[in-house]
Amino acid sequence: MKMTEENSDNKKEDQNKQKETPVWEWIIAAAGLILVVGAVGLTFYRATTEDKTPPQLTIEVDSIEPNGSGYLVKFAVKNTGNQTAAAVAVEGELKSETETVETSGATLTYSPANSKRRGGLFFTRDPQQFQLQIRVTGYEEP
Amino acid sequence: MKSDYQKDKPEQSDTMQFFAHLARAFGGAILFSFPIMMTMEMWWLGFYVNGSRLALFTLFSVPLLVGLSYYDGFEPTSRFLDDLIDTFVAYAVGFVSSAVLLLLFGVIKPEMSADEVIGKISIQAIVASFGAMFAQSLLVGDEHEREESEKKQREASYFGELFLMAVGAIFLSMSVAPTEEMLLISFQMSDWHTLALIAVSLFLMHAFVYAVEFRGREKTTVRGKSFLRGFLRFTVVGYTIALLISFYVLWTFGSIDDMEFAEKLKTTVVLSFPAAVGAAASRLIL
Repeated sequence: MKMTEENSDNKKEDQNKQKETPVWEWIIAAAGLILVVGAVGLTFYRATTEDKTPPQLTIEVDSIEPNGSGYLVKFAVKNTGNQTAAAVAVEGELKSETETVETSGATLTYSPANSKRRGGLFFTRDPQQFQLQIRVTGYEEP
Repeated sequence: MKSDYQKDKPEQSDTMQFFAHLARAFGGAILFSFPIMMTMEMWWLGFYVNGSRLALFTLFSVPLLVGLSYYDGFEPTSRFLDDLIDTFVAYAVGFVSSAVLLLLFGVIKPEMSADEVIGKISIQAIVASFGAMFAQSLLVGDEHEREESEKKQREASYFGELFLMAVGAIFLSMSVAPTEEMLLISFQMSDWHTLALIAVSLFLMHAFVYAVEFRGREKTTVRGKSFLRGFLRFTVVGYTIALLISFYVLWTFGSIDDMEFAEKLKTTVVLSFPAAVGAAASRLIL
């Protein structure tokens, strides 16, 4: 019995709706339109104005800390180009004045355009005792 | 409502009915979540996902399940309390079926920490619990129940329609959201590809909106009324819902952290493609 009353109430509401779309529905629609147009606008702006520069990868050491029986060098790779690099190979070398003492490597799956990705290299010797050289050796186009 | 329900089947007790619904819920949970149970990124999420983001996502899924139960649960409900109870039954069903499947696939092993095991199961359980709730609309053979739930849908207000779109978007996008392909696809696409994908998503959504109108369910947008009105109220708003949900899901999984906004947007557009199709189709299917 209660259900049927609710039904008729809803039907009334339906009829009202048919006459006029409530204001807040238009507000939601407007917000949606702004967002979609914004997304399209930003992408279009980028498509027409930006040159496709190749990945420009710079690497910086975030921290050096003892880790287990060795040391961990944490690094961040920043891509300032506007193309994404995949399979980014990072190589770290510990050098004394005359020779390379230890090398270590890591691969980052992606370094997206204008974004940062982090990773770490393990060394058995303390990198602070030597000259630490860390660089990106290559990448793959996704 | 319940009394004439029993009149049809006097031989079945309430308990029997509940177990029948429960079995259906398990069926739904497994049917709709096995693709992600067999996705390795989904297993890995168990140990790299940000704990508080996952907790927030689980909380966020509760009101969605309650609403879904109201429109379309695995058993007919008439009170809010019933919807709430069914939500937690669905979550329990989702959790158990995820645990069983992950054990079967050897994803969960005895030497793993409790943290890792619970993390792995609870991510899958969210999607599986949606599957359990969906069981009603897609696995029901009983004519009587079907009619009843369709009646409720016909009463869905504009806000209710938007809600169903959000559920459809989240459900379909979840099956691909954690995969690496989302990032890879966005990296392979140029900005022109992105624009084209937005256009195609909108076109597909509008085709579904038109199909719903054709079926005559949404009475407020009668065919013949302006194209623009249906386009704005359902297609554009629906696509916005798809974009927002995709962004939220990607943020939850941490796949777009540390990326510039334009790249985040591109990945969001990629995930919005399945989300948009899910949103639009849910009005037709649910």
